[in-house]
Amino acid sequence: MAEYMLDFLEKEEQIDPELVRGIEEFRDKHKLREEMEKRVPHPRFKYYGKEIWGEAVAALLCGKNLLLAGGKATGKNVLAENLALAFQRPAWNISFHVNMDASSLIGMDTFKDGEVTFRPGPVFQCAGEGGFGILDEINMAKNEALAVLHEVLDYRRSIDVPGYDRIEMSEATRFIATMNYGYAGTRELNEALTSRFAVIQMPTITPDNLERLLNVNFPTLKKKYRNQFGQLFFELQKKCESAEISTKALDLRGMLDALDLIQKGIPAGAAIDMGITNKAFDDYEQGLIRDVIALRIPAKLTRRDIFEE
Amino acid sequence: MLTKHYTKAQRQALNQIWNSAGTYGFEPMFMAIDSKGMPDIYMNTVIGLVSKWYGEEMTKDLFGRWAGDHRQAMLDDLAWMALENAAYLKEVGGRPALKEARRAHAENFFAQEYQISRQEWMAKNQLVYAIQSARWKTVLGKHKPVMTPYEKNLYNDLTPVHDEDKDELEKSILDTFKKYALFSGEVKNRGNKIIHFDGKWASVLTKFMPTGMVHTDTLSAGHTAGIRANEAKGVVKAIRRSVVKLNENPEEDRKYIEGCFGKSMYPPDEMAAIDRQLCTGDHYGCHLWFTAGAPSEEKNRNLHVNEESALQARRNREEYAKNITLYRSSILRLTEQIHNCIQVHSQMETEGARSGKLDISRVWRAEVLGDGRVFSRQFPADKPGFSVDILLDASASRMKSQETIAAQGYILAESLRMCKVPVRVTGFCSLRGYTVLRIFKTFQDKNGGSRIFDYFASGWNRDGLALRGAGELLKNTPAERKLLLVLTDASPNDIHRIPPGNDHPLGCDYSGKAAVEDAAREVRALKKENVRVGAIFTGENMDVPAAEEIYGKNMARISTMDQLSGAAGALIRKEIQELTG
Repeated sequence: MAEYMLDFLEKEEQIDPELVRGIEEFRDKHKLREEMEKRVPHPRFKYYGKEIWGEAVAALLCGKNLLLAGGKATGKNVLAENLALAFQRPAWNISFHVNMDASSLIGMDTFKDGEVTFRPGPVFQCAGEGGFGILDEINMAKNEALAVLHEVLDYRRSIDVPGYDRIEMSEATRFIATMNYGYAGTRELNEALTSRFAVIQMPTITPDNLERLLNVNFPTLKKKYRNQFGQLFFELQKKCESAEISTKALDLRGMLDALDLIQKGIPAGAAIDMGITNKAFDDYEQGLIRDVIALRIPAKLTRRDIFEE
Repeated sequence: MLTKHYTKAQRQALNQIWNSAGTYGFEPMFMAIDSKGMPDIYMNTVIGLVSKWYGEEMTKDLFGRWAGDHRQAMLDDLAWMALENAAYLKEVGGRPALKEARRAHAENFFAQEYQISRQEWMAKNQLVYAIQSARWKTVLGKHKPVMTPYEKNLYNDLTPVHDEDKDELEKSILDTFKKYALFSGEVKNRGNKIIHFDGKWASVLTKFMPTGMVHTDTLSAGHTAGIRANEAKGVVKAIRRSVVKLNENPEEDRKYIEGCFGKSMYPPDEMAAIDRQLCTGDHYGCHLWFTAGAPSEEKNRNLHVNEESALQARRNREEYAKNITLYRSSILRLTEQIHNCIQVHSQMETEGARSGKLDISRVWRAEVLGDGRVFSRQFPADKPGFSVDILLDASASRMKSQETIAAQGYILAESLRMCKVPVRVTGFCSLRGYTVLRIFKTFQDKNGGSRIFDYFASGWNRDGLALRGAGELLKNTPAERKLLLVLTDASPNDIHRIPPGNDHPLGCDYSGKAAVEDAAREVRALKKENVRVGAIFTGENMDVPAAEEIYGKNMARISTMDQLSGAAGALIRKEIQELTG
């Protein structure tokens, strides 16, 4: 799988061969410990987008941390996991939320056998193991909670755990943060934190790449419907951008799940309801989504209509 | 920008049009709604596709040619037959599902034949019906109905088999209409007979004709439909500002106000004390009236007004019930937005836990009691820590949009209530020297603000005194931090003049610059008391500077009342961020 990723990058994505050599050298220099192998992600989907791949790989090879900023369904997490796989590093996926505090990142004291002991948090473990820390939706957390990451992310590359020790980070450690800017409830990252990342503005998947994604994951999907599912995604996206519906139904993963269900014999209407429409819980919004779907994928279509036998 | 208010079905139709047009936000000339009031997805898609392939300008240009012609409805229908065919041919290659949708539409056309009433049949144009019937039978793969040679040829000319570009299509439709003597290019109007009366005949007739009461110093709780109907008939009544107070009997005025709006919340001596304290300076001689709408024994004095306001309340409720799905959707969305914002900006509280930061003062408990909860951890406080007061302008200038304001006020109040934010909704207007603050929803109404639907518009708006009154109400809130949101047109206006004083030695009308300065002063006074004041501005372009002078930057402008809750939501989120630092 790992070797296949390099082939994919070089031959299919056609990124600069120098960058692929760089990844190989990185891997040689930072061998993966056997017990960490199960921590290397095996993402279901590959990220498509030559330019973004090139920028991300180059930044990581230069020792930078990455901030992937973009709307829903732009593939931020898919890229983060693909990068960990390509570099063969164990990954710690840390989902940020409003109640996140420094101790949930670094670790906290707990009581064990009558003694106060330190229980390491994911950032601490990732730093020690030379892993890739995926800081998911980093802007959901309060800036005060994130201040603890400053020295982890900048040139100091260390963590000072008050009352314990100062841990030097492994040279292979990288942090890849994702953020969905503008989502209701999120906050702006402060300058001090943003300046510690190389920021990539994630573009929406292009029609060509979406077609590739559908083709690779559903090779028997008829060409006519590959195109219609692609158009459906972009029409829903436009509806979200115009604020007529919420982003709940703009779910690429959900659309691929719907195709899975159709392949298993569920009629198109019910499958798309499960994968896309029902994610909006509001009747009115569901009505608007169904209108868009009806003019691309008629509800009564079955596996035979959509897939080659 | 949309300038009209749309119902749920119309909004859905718009979405169908925008989706196929591939662009959002424009207001199409046509919308397809069926006889049951539901959007027709196929024809709306066609409307959008015509815009996509031929441009919105072409539709306006084409249909504008016979606008006003006595056969306009028939020409519109026939032109849409030609456009449907053209748009279908252009699009079906890239959208195979259109074929199925067209078929479903054709089936529905014939299914409806059995459902429509005799009156609806009679209203149908036979030529249009023949052409439509032929089109949809062909789509279903059936034989065409029996048609005259004239109809058959017209049908063929309106159904070209190859797609055409914009100019070709427009020309072909106009040529066809000319060829079949449907429209020569010149608009023919049978003309409405208009009889114009003036002089004494006019004054006699006016007594028997409905008139629209806009501003008078006797309350008129006109309902929206009536106002619109009168406007459509061109009935306009000039407003004359009185320079003297019309009624000089204070006791009579008080009873009148009590009869119209309900008993005062405060006992008479307390109310008099408030008047003495607040009705000073520019408002000397005025009175305040705070009411929660409690019925008064004086109400029989103003039977007509009470009947009118009850009718408006019923209309408000009916309007909400009609579009309940759309409004519920708005409540859910707004609740989600505010809730997220409160969560993100909530204050932290500390509690004991089994892991976290060691709490030295509790360590003994581990040793002595075997209690492992010797750590502390932080969690977000559940309480939002602030209250919201919504102040709705209820003067007669709002008469045209009473149902929408009531619904939007309810949406706001419900969303905030669901987020556990204490909210109070108050309406204000001025009448006979009284500035009335009527509370529709108190902080304690835990079961929702259904009384907001009792909103009705009447009288004038003395913003400065209303803001002073709001300041009095704001002394009693369940949270320390306070947000006041005012729905305003930034055009304060009251029949009761500003008395002579330092700023105005001869006194002046309460309107224009003087009134704006007064309102701005009151907003500054509220801010000094640590009340955050935000405004939702609904006025005209010329009043923008006034709104800016009164409310500064904390202002959101909306063009239609159905944007109220969205704009208020944005202001509330902004204020939450600033309130919580």
